[in-house]
Amino acid sequence: MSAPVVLVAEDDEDILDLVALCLQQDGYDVVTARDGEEALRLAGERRPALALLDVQMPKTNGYEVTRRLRADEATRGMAIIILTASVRDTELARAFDAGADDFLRKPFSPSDLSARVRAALESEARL
Amino acid sequence: MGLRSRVLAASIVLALIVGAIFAILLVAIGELRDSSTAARHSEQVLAAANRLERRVIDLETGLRGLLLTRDERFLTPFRSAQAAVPPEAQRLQGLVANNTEQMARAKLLAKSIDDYLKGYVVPEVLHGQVRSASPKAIRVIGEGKRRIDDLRAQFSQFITAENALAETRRESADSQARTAVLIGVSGLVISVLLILAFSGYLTRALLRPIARVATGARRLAGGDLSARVDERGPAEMGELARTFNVMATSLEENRDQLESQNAELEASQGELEHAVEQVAEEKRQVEVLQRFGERLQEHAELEPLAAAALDHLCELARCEVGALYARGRDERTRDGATLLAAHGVRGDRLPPRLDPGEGAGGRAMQERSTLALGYGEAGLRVPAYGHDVLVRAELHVPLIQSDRHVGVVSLGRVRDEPFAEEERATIVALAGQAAIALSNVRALQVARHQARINRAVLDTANEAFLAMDDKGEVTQWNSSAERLFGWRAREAIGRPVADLIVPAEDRANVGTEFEGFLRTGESRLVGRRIEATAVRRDGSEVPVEATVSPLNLDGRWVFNAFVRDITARRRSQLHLQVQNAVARAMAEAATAEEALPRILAALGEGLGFDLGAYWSADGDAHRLWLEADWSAPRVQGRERDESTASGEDSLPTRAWTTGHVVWVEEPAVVAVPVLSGTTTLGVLELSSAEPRPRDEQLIQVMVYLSQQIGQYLERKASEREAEILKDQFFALVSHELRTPLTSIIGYLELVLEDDDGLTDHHRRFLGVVDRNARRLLRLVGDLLFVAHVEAGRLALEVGEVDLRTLSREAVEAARPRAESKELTLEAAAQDVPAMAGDRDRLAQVLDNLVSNAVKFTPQGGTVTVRLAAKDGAALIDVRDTGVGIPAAEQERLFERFYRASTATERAIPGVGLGLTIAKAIVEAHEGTLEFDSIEGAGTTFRVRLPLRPPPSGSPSAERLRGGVSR
Repeated sequence: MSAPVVLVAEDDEDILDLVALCLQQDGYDVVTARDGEEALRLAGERRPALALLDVQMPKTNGYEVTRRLRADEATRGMAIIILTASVRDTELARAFDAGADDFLRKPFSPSDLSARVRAALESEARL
Repeated sequence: MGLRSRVLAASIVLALIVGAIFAILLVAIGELRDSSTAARHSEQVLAAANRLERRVIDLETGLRGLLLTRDERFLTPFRSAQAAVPPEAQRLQGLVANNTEQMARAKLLAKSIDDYLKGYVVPEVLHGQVRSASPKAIRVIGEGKRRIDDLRAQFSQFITAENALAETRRESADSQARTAVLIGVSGLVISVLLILAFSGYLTRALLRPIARVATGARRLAGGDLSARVDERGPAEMGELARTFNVMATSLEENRDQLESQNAELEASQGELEHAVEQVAEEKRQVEVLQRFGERLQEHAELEPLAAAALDHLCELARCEVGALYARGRDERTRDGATLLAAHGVRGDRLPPRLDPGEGAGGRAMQERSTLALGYGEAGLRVPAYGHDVLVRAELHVPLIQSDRHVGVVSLGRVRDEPFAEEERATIVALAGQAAIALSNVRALQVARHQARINRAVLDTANEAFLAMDDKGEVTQWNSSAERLFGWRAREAIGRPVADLIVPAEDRANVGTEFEGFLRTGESRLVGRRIEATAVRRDGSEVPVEATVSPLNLDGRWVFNAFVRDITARRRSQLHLQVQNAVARAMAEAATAEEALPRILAALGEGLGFDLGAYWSADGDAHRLWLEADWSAPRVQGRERDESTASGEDSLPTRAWTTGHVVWVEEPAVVAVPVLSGTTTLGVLELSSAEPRPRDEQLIQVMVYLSQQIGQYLERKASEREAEILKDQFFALVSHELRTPLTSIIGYLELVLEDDDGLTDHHRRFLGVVDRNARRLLRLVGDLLFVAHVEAGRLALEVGEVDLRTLSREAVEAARPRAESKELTLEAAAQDVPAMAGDRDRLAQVLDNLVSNAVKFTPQGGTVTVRLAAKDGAALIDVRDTGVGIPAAEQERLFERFYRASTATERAIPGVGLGLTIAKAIVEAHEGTLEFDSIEGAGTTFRVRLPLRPPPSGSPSAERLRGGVSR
């Protein structure tokens, strides 16, 4: 069985590398995108099991990407974790409203990231 | 013995006698009948005896025939006779059973016959073989003949005896018949005689006396009172007669008495007629006085009255000349009198004034007594009547009315006829009436004068004045009342006040109060200021303030009322209320969107409109958008046509483009532009189905309010702009500071995980980097938190909080540092019930306080944390033996970024946000955070949190007050 594909969308190059590095260490097949549109395209092409989406991205923000992924029959089932730098609870509410399964506040520790991704994929697998 | 008893006795006697006669007669008849019966009996006996004898003869004849002929045929009559004999003999015996002698004979006869038959017939004839015509036959026949002869002799004897008996009986019967006839005749005669005697008695005893009384009564009836009747007569009849006589006597006496009385009456009639004449005379005089009085009453003015009084006086007193003087209005003064009227002489020839004591009139006036002057005295001393009038007799009568001196009247006769005593009396009486009339008219004039003054005063009054009587009808109505209510005084007076100005729905109530007052003298409507709604002539209503004063005049109530129109006052009160309501709506609403419907409701309800709308102006699109609307509950459901309102010609658009208020009266629509400076923000529109006249005062109020609303909207808009900028700033800080930190912390963690690739040096350096990166991250978090609090956006996630656990965790978190500083760290927690609160935030507070205490306490010191519950609140004390806070700085301790000198001097790290945040969190829980501190000795922080029961179920996002969030 091949490694699960995980899509990471983040406009900050450093953070993108950090997340990709962590996930690759955990053995996932990581696909990266630098804006919302790219994320949507790759999601359509690669059908990842999970998408980690930053909120603030050029072109299309994380919420919108989430909504569109959920609206599309092909990508509806994937697990989605929102990455946000905001400390405000309303942001979190928006994430869940858009259809995210979980969220991760920046800054995050790599171990926390691993745990969340694993948990999301496991609950995905259970469904 | 009474008449009745007598008649009764006589009747009984008569009846007895007649009865006796009839009894005797009946006895006689009975005896007669017995005698004739006996006679008939003897005949029967004789007949029976004869029949028996014939039978016996038949026997013998038959036997003889047989014996002679031996012809059996002769046996036939023999046999039948033989059969008939015994019963015949028997019957005979039966008939004579009552007579022993005859009985004996009959028995003997029967025996002889029997012997004949048994002794002769049977042996000789029937059984003896006798041939016919033989000697034996002849002997036998002879024997038979002899026996029959004996028998016949016996029969004859019997019959003779019987005949004798019958004779005796017949004679007795005859005698009896004669006796009976005699008795009958004599009885009849006696009866007739007795009846006649009785009738005679009755006639004598009853009819005659009654006839006498009847005759007497007829005579009495005919007028002959001397009629008397014979009093003789038995018992009651005598009594009747006596009574009649007594009656007649009494009638006679009465008549005599009446006649004498009649005579007396006739005598007194004369006196009576005299008295009647006197009364008629008195009546005439009274009528004269009354007529005089009536005539005087026709005049309400002084001079015509005086003239009329004088004319009538002169006429009645038969005087050719006269004058009347009356004193001035003020009767108390000693002023003289002025000439008011003259009769028979021209007024200008008389003195216009008459002073007391001057002349005869003046004297009469002064002395208050009638003064009569005769010929010689008169004329000379009264020059006032002029030289060409020769007055022979004068009379001066003072006019006095209940002690008040009214004036004097002088009368004069030209002919020589002095005033007689009776005439004077009449004239004085008439003058008295004239005085009363003059006095009354003068009083009336005074009253009218006063009333004119009052009316003038009332008419000039600004307030409406009206008066009513105890029937509730208007008696006065001033010109202000005319203006206020629209009714002219002449229309209002005499009509019920209730019909004029009281609204129909209040009339019953007012009527009840009015009647209640008349009954009890009390009502909540009188004697104080009342506010009410009155109705005008045109039906419109007007709010008024009225004061009704009751006044009792001679037992009748009159009511005076001052009424003031308080429309303006009411309206300004109303406008003030509306302004307050609008201001309240703006103050209470958090946003303009929330405030606008409330403002519309306040305006609509307060000013009585049905619908309200706020149109916001969009200058770019050049059109109005409906921002908020409101409709009164009574018209709920009525649709608003948005397109017409926002069209080019709509009223709101006109108000917008012109910048002026637009008012349409029917149906009422008011559109008011809402301005901020010179910019029109939008248009307020109020409307109702009811027509509404343009109201300048209301327009002023609405313009003022629209300015207030404009400023409010403007302020809210700029607040909102600032809000948006702040949000953008928060987002920037969050993102731009935290994103780099994410990379730093993330990569550091990865590097530090790589145990092999790092030297100890590198590891120590990177540890410093990591610690400072995290400190920076905390600082950023604190800054954002404070910013949130200041924006009023501290949100609490309220759930169940166990303060014991929180305090223990805080203490344990601080323990490593405390131990490193060799501090004594104590915790003492009582049982505190679970409470409602934000667990993370409260943990933050406790962490902050405990770590602060540890931070500021020098080596070897003590930090004590105590938790207790008291009066429905949790109390947390965090005490240290630290450096303390200088008294001068304590006041500022909770300011953000403030750091105490004791901290800075000792270079204790911190940015001065911890306490600010702790206080904000505690206050968001409606608690308090306080402290006591002595510099160099230590500080105690006290948290007090109200113990609210935790919400049931999972922690909710309910926001406590002070934590409004968007």
